[in-house]
Amino acid sequence: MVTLVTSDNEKFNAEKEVVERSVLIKNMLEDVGESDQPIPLPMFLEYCEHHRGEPLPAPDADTSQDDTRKRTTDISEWDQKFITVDQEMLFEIILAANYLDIKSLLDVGCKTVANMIKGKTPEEIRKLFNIVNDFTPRRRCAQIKKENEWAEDR
Amino acid sequence: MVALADKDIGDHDSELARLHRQILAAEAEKHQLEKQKAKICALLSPIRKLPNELLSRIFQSVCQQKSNEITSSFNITCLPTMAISLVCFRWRELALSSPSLWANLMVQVSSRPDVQTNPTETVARYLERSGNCPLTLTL
Repeated sequence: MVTLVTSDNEKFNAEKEVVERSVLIKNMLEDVGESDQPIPLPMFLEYCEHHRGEPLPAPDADTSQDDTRKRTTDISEWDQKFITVDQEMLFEIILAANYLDIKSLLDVGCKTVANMIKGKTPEEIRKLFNIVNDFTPRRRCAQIKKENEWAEDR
Repeated sequence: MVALADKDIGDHDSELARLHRQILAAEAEKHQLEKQKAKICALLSPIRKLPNELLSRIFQSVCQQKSNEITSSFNITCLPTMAISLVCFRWRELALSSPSLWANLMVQVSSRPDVQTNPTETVARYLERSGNCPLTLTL
């Protein structure tokens, strides 16, 4: 068993096999390193617990295998349910998965955001993610304007 | 009596005009405050936390899931890569520095005389931005 302590001093016990889905934690357990990076630990454990036993991507796997995994657009039903959270949490999960080096969880997060983006116009995307349109005349606006005008003509 | 009434009406008209100007000024001020608030809220937007490396990964996923389909009735801002590049300055810079996002294109060529759409400019832009990246072009 491994005891993980969060930044607010909450302790979680989990089996080594479960937490080792995170390459970072796996390496930490091997090297006994330290980190004070906060992570949404309960969700991470829930994800790893569910996917326990599934083959981990080999550390020396060639990039084509990695690309194939990224290209697969399917998200399992359980993963979809797991990732149905508000935007704040969704991006926390993505950052944590990246930091903890959990490739499958990072894929699920990125594909979820990609699904939210696809088929939307720039204005709809801005609205969805609360992004300000910061194109100014000084910032190569001519090209943007040309593209927008062209789009409006259609 | 009539002269007095005219004077009163005139006073009211001037008062209404003054109030109208005040309303317009207040509305303009409100609009400015709303814009300012939107800017501040956008600074706290969760997606801003993502580093370019992860944002780029998401863009790749968008373009893998939905190809840039140029059909007879396509809308340029709905082409995934183009849409991404028109969201904001940061997204645009990132999209333009990722040639692979522009390298996958599906063009529907119509021989029907009633179809006026000319995709040449869009295709040329995609080809230019795809740089040296291997192209996947479906006709």
